[in-house]
Amino acid sequence: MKEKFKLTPARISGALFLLLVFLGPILIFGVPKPSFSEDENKKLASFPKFSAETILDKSFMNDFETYSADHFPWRSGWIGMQTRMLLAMGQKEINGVYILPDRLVQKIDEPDPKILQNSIEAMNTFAQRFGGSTYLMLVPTAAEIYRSELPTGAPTLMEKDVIDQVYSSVSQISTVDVYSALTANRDSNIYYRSDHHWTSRGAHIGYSALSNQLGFTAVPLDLFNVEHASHSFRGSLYSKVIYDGVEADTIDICSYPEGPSVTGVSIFDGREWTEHDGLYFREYLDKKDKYSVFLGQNEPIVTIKTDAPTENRLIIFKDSYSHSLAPFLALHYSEITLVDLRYLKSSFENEIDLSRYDQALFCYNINNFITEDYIKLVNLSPKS
Amino acid sequence: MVFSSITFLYVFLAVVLFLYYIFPYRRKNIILMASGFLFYAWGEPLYVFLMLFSTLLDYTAGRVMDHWKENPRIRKAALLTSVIINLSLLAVFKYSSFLVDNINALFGLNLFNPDLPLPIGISFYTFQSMSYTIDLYRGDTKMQRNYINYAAYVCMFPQLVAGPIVRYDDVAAELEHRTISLEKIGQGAFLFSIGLAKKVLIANNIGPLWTGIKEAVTAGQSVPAVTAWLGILAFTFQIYFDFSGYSDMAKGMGSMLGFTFPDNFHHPYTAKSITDFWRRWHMTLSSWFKSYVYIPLGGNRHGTLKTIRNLLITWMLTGFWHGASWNFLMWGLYFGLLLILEKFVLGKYLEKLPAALRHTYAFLLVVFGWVFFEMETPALIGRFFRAMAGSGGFANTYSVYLLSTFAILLIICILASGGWITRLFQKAEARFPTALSICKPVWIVAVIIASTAFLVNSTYNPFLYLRF
Repeated sequence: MKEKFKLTPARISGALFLLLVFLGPILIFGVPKPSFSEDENKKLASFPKFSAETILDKSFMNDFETYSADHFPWRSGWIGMQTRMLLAMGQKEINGVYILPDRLVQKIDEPDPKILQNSIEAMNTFAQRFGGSTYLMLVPTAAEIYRSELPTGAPTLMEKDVIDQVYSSVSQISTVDVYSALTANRDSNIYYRSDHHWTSRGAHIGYSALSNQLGFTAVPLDLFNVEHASHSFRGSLYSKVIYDGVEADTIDICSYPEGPSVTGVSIFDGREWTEHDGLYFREYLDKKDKYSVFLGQNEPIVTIKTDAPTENRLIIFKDSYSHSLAPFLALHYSEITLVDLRYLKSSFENEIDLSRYDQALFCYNINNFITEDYIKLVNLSPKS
Repeated sequence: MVFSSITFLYVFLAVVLFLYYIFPYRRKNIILMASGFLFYAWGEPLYVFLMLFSTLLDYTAGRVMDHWKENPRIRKAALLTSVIINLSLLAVFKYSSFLVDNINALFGLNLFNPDLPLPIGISFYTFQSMSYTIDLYRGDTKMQRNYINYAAYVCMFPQLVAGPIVRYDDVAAELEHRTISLEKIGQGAFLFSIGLAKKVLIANNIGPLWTGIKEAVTAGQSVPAVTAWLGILAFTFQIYFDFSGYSDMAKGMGSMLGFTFPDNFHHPYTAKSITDFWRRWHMTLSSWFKSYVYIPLGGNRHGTLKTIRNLLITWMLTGFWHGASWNFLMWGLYFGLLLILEKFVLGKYLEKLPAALRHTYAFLLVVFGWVFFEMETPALIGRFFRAMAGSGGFANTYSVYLLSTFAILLIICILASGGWITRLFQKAEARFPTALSICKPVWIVAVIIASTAFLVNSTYNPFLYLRF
């Protein structure tokens, strides 16, 4: 006679294990998913190509593993759970982000001296060949300004030292100290809590710091109309850890109706120029990447024209920190061109005439300045 | 493909188990063989043919030995062919570039260094495969007539690339007849989840502590004593939880497939002497060397001097097995010497010491051993020991940061590797058997969920046995 089947704990274990594991292929391959993760701000891998070549060089296997991890259901939920567990285990830095009680702060690594040297030489060379005057503003990141709030002994770059070192190595370039003003205003919401950028308030401090040297009179912040364009911004640092334990950020758009207005924004995407209506890309307010409301995403060249009663023209070599800075500067120039050297393969001078500009500004946040070796591209010779 | 990955757990294992369970018993070994080859080809699309060759060779050697039962010369020739070719594979693919480099350096020559990439797990499967021909020659096991069964044994994915080193005789009977039940699957799932937790939740999280410090020391930075100790302790725990986690997962999956694999780790950090440590650490490797090297050399039957010689040879080889580099040889020699010392001098004194001192003695010596294991050159080994002794100061703010960041994890490591958690569990099980057995399924689900969270976005998930 057959023994009656009893549901022992071991059998329950076996059944549960098989159930969980068998669900895997169905959820990974059976459930359609978007090709872009908004939460993580990352493109998810597509299914790898199967061929003798991709098998032999193992790229098929590697891509397949990336694909199955990328297409695992509730991916960002799992990452958020991982962050919570790591915090419970005592970790303070996760995926390069320090998790403080009230904000996320990006950890900055030591610079590669070779990159620093290249960039310094490139800027010096540029200043020599440029007819107008050249300026440099290196913006510290939140890790430097909020160093005292990081866990005791937490490693992050001494950004002030790097700024001083670079400032003392450049020649024929006026350097702009924004560090002091940012430190003095550290309590007035100058960096986003969940993003690596400075806020419009922070950018206004940068604008004020620039005014002395560049020779215009900065409009004080309290004269601007401040529009709270979004209260639900979760930025790039959030995307790295999917941690909602700190408050969402507010995006402020500052306008000064008494001042001159922007008459046109032309964008060069590397192939062709297009026109955009104004400095703001409000469609991004409904997306994850809300900081892009300022001048959209990074494009190789952007030219802003205004009806300001001046002939002064400014060219900025920049990263995305300048996107929220540009609206302030636009009050004082008839034309501002922003050049993002990271996205240009050939000389920017193929597209614009450098001699038309009176002032040139190198404006970078420290992290972008030290991690990529691209500033030397400013001296590429234009195609004849 | 590492066990601790989304692809393995939710694609490979899921599909293989599904096919394995729906096919009838007489087809199951085909699934095992095919999935083993696929598993290996996933990591080594070219060298999989090497494994195919090795299994064919040893299978044929077995057939030959069995067919000419009465002819000792043919039997011996078959054995020698198998052993020599297997060892040559190891020599060529694992040790050749080390040998060429050293010969070049020693004689100022410029011999060509083929610099072949090391086939994953070659040391594991050649050792497994050799155990078959040697045992067969000695009459300790029976010939396998069916190539599929033999290949299924060598290529079985749970133990293919990181052990345990399963001897043919351990599973010979189960290859032909085994039972698979939901009960066994459940027991296997429990073991697997313990291994997964060890690897993903503990080893992968304590590992970065060592990686950072190792990099700093290798780059020539001075490191204070607290940092150096934290680092080498982190590695001590990483390698144990990683390696024993792999063995637990292998044993667990073996059970799901209907096999019983031998134990590989038995709380090695609770050892009371180095002799005791090696009875608890990577047990299948030390017993392999004992059966196939130490005892054939004469073991301890020919007087003190020969015993010392045999121990030294065995342990240098054991060290060298872990990687083709001087520091592994030194690591093996270090343990060989300690074992000789314990056997002939220290043993009787050790026994008189209080248990706490003996544990400390063994643990510290093992930790020092890991310095040899991890630091590649004598200069680095010396530098690291000096840092541990305080050449770089006692501590700095970064040591404090590391300590505060990893304290909880280190305490978990100490409790788990010290056997306290197991003991607590056993006591609770004796008192509340029902409650504890209900906890098991809950634990399995919890570990799988927690590990999945770590695997979906894993930035650090190393395979530590690439050089074995």
